[in-house]
Amino acid sequence: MNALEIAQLIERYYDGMSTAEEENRLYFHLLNSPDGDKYPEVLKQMRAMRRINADVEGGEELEERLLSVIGSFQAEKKKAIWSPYRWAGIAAAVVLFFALWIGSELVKPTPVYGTITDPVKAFNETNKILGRVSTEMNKGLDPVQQTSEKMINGVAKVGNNINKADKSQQVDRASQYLKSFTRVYVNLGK
Amino acid sequence: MTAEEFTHRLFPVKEKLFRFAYRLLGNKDDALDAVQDVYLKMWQIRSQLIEIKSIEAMMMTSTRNLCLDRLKRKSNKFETLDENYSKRNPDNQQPNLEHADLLHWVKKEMELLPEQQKSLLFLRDMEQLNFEEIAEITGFDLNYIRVNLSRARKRIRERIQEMTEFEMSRNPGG
Repeated sequence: MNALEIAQLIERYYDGMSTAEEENRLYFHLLNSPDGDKYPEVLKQMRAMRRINADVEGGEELEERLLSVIGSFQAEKKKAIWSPYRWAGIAAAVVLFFALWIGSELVKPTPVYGTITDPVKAFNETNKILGRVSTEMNKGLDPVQQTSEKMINGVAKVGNNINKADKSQQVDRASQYLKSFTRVYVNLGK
Repeated sequence: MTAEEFTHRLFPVKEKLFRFAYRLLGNKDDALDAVQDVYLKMWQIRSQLIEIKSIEAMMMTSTRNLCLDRLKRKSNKFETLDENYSKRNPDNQQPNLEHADLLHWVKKEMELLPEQQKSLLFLRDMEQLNFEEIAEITGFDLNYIRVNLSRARKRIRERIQEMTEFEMSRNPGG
């Protein structure tokens, strides 16, 4: 690198026009050649700028801080993943519990009060009940029998009267008898 | 984006972000807080990161914005940045070279630069990013970048020259 080129590069450097490549070229030339003695301030400045941050280091403290921050990110992520599963699990457990409870309530036999366990006593009670049923049912038989007898007698009378009376009279009487039968029948029904 | 993918893609730039935050804020604790905040912010928008072309540039931008917010809050609390700058401006001070080397002096000088120039020096001279990358991170146009970078470099050069002259005046023989 000749003197003119060095001077031009220095000028470009202080004008903020030089490229990174030109600055590197200038620095290493001044550092490694006698020309460095000609421009001591330039070399001092360029060297100082490159070394000024040598002692500036976040080091372990920065590393620890960022790792703890990233650790909190991961914890947050795990929490976010766990949360919906946990709530779904709790909801499922509650539903299952209620389902089991309702099922057990339905299956459980309801106790029948007044059940007779002694077979002899049960037989006697059954006889009593059946006897009562039979008595109650028989109550209706006598009126029915009387009604049917009345009907038979009525029909016989109708027959006799038909023979005796005129045709028109026979019809009137027959209708009267039929009305009376109907009345009796209705009364019985009540 | 899972936590593993997030770590894999975003973790490698952590030191660069820290250095940037440190240069802007000037102390380690604030820089650590800022970088942590950047990662939290990135996590909140992780679903959009897949579509981002340069996550690193985005994170650098985010770091810068967060640092500026912090500086603004601080300046509102105590004093304005301009007041702060003028109070600390050592134009009228002689460099105390008894306990300071070149690096220390350049660092001090950098802290006094306006924020834009400080950012540009960091991105260009320390991290060796190209102008397009710087433009993407800062949102400045190329001309503005060049002009401000030039001012910052010249200012540092002036301070180094002053320091050299001062050294020579103290040790004329050496």
